Amino acid sequence: MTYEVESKLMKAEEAIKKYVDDGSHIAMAGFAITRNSMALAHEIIRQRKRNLKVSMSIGDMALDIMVGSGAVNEVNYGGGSLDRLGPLVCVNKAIVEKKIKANEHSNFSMLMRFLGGALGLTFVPVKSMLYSDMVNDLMRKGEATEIKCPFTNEVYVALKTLNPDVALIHAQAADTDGNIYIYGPKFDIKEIVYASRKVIVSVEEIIPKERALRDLIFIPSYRVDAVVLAPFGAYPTNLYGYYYHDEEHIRSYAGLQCREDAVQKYVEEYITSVNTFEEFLKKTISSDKLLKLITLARRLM
Amino acid sequence: MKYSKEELMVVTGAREIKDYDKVLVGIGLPMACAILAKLTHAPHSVIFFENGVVDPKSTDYGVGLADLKAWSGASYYTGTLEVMGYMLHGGKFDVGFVGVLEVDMYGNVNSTIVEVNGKPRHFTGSGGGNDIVSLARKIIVITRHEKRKIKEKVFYVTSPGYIGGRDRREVGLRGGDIVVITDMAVLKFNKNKGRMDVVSIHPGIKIEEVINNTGFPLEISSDVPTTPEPTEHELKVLREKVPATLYSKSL
Repeated sequence: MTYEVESKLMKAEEAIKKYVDDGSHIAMAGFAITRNSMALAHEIIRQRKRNLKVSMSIGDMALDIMVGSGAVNEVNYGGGSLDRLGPLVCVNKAIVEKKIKANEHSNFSMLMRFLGGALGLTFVPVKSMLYSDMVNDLMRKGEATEIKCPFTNEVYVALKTLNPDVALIHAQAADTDGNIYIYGPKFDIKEIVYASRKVIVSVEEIIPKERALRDLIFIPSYRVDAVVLAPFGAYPTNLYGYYYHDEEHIRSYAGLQCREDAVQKYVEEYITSVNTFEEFLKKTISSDKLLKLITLARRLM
Repeated sequence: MKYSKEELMVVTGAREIKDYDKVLVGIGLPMACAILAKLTHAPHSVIFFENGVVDPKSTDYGVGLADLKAWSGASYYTGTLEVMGYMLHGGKFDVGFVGVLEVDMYGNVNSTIVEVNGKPRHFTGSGGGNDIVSLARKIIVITRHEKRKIKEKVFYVTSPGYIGGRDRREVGLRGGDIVVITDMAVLKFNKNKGRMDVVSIHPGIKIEEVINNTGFPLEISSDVPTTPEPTEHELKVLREKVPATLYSKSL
């Protein structure tokens, strides 16, 4: 018996090869230290993709490592951090040293650029960012302008909408039909998925469709181009219901302060010297510790 | 009853929240304010995080908005569009809290970049901060009272205050009043002066201390009100029911 999901089930290596090129515009939906598309980000770094443009509402650890590894030359984002475990050191440093082009937004402005792209609009009006230095900068770059409502004359920021080449999402589960399930808070996942031309979803597990509730489907299979089975694919960040974040690993990453040699060493040790994300997991975390992270996440549901 | 300056700040922030208010917060002292309000005078207020977590009821909020500990006991999980769009952009948030690197005499907020020893240093950026300041009905800024934090002019405007000293609604912002709560005083916008002004000074703090620790000239009259002290009930609930990790080390 074959399942529908099999037609788009692929290894991370194949999915990134097929859908991400040098210069691609990528969208991600991680948030600080939760739900990072870490397995897919590692694969992008392993394949040494270059000149990527990344758009995301809140920057996360996956973005920071991609910037630190030199894969990215432009970022559209709404700020970000590793929560209190640290700042996005590589992103912050690259912005100050002008190594990447960074377009700063608010969280909601980024979401609206995705939503507009999903709806096929060429611009969206928002009240956010009026009179801020962010909008002054975006206006200089031709990404935004001020407009007036044609009916009331009220002032708005008009933002260019976004249609990234490919969305990278990490989800809890796919079913055997290829539908995607997102448990916990949904962030901007739906807007990103519908704004992007291609959609790669890595998942913790594949569940029989008979076991899944149809009304809990968050992304229908027809919107998904590739499903990658990647257990612990958000590690060391957390995933609701599945595992807590590895505070020790994230703190030690933040502690590198994005010093050039230290980041290179991190990338080599954890990403480029292994062939797959599973190898990284085996090398990095003991099953005892993993069990602790899983148990804690279950308890917090 | 004795209390710490952090406890006074939490109680002062909590009193800005009314019953049935919808409140947008982050982890830290603002979350302590929101929880305390809910457990005292505002039992029907609802707490939101910008990532779609609604009404969490945890005993340990961990390291931030992305920590699973902070989501524990939530009554509803939704997405950013619903919280920041339908609710915030739609004008349905009564109170929003923001953290700052700097705030200036016009209420402009910087959470993006500051100069440290003459060199730019980039921090978190806006996140939902700009959205909250631009769009919530009441904005509460919590900060330490220091010259380098409360300035004449911020280095970078992440979120706008009172543009040209004018009413924010006149210039197209939906955001309402900005209240700055520090460890020394409470500041609000003074329409006559066209800038932020002290509305009350915390018990035990001298007028000169506030003036000396503010980065722009303040005129404070000798009959300035004293910030009301926490009640025994507020302190009891705060100490027994609100996780101390949220506020004890936030200054």
